[in-house]
Amino acid sequence: MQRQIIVSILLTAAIMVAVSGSGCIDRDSDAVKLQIAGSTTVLPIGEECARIFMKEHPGSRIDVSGGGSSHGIRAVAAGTVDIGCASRDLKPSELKIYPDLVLHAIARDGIAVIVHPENPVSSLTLAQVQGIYAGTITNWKEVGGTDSSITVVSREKGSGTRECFEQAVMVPISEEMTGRAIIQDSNGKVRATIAGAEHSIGFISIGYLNSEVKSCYLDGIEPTPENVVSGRYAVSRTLWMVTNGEPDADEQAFLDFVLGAEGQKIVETVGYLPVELLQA
Amino acid sequence: MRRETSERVIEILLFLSAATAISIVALILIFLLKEGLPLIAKVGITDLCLGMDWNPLPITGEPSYGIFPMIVGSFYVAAGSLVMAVPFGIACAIFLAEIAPSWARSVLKHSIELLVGIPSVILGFIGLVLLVPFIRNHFGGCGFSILAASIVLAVMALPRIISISDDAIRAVPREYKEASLALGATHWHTIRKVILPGARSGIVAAVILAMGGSIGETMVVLMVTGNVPMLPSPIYDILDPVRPMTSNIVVEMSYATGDHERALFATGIVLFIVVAVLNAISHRVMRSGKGARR
Repeated sequence: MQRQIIVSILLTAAIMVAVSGSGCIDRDSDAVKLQIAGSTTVLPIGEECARIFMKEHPGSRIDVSGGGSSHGIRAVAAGTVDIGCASRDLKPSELKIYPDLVLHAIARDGIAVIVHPENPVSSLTLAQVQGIYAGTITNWKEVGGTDSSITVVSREKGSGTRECFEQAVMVPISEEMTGRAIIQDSNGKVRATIAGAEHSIGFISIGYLNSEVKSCYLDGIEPTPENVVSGRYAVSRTLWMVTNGEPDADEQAFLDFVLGAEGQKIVETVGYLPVELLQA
Repeated sequence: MRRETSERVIEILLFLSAATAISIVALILIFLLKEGLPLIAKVGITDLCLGMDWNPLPITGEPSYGIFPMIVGSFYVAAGSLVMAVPFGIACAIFLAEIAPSWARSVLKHSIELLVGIPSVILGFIGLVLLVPFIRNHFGGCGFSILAASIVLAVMALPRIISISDDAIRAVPREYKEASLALGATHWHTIRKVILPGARSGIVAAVILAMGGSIGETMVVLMVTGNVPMLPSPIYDILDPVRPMTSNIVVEMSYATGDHERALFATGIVLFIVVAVLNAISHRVMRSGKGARR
């Protein structure tokens, strides 16, 4: 009886070893398995790159999810994902807690100030945007529009998009953003809110611009890719993919794809700017 | 002998599954406390719960973690939803239990159950694309408001209020009703003076449970309140946006680190306590009602 049990246990163990072993051998040599999470700004790049990459490397499985920049950084440091996405630079505090993280610049992005398409205002100075977001300008007629109060729409505290906007707009005057601002928690929701409210103003990544909203000239400069790359348009940032330590083979394969001709083409199709132009 | 062992095994299994349920709740609570308490200790419970200013990532100066406007916001939208849902819900329950013919009852019962099945994100989306612009165009303000959240939450609270009140009304002993009718009271009089007082504890419990549900609801309020972490001004303006505690957590959690994250867990602790207290009250009310009747 006892012997039978021991034998069956050994047999089970042997089968398990054999199965797992054969699994390794059977594996396609260029099949890549990755988990990616982080900034919703980087999400469209990650999703599209993953889709094409999986098509080109059958058997690969790349899961891409959002969650925000901080989540992406935390998750990659904790090892729950292989690649984290961030739409802002790492904070000194994060670099201190997670010294092993390696950053890979994958794209550039600009942040456009947007209004409803029927709003007569289509150009604002930095000082006017500062006034609107600090809460000192509350009526559109103060900036050349109709006599109606301004509904300020913003992103939540900690969002990479908001951080970039604050760095360029609020930090120079060291003012807090008005507490009266409506908070929406994604680029898409901010856009939907502006599209539905005639007297509102918001800011979104230029990757999300479409005909539902109108982007404003800032200090006379249009938020176009060219102006972001040339540095003339001030509100801009770098998008990152982050690995824990130097990338392993799977991670490197995907990063090579994103940074390669095809990946950078995708970056452009979804509305951001390729990273090469950054160096050019 | 053999039977006793199998009994014993089943007992242990049942005990284990009960213990699992409780330990899951306990672990959630422990985790919540572990993450949130350090910040409560640092900021102080009064500054947290009564502080007016929420600014965890200031551009200059010290961060502040006051969630008083959010506690008010939570109660505001929940109270607003009850004002709309309670009269309607109780009326509907009375109709279902006392007046409706059986075919109407079954049709209504099923459609109310269907209402429970609508995912809250869908109700929230309807609120965002229909209700918010409607309020903006017809009542003024920016549309994102206590009013919008209250209306959608009222729709969500209705099925809960109706079904528990319906049960409570039907649980009133038949003899009470018969006695009242035999004394010559009209049906309406009987409902008002005998049945409703008899079902009072169940109805009150339904209302309190619905309030707990409204305070804990997240998706809807996230989409239609505007998430502004300030008190409405003036304080009674229901067309002003607010930020209930739930949407504070969900809006900022994905980006939060350090003390900011702990502050969100602390918000969760406050929310947990509020909802737990409401549940406890409703259980007590329900039990006392049952005790009195027997």
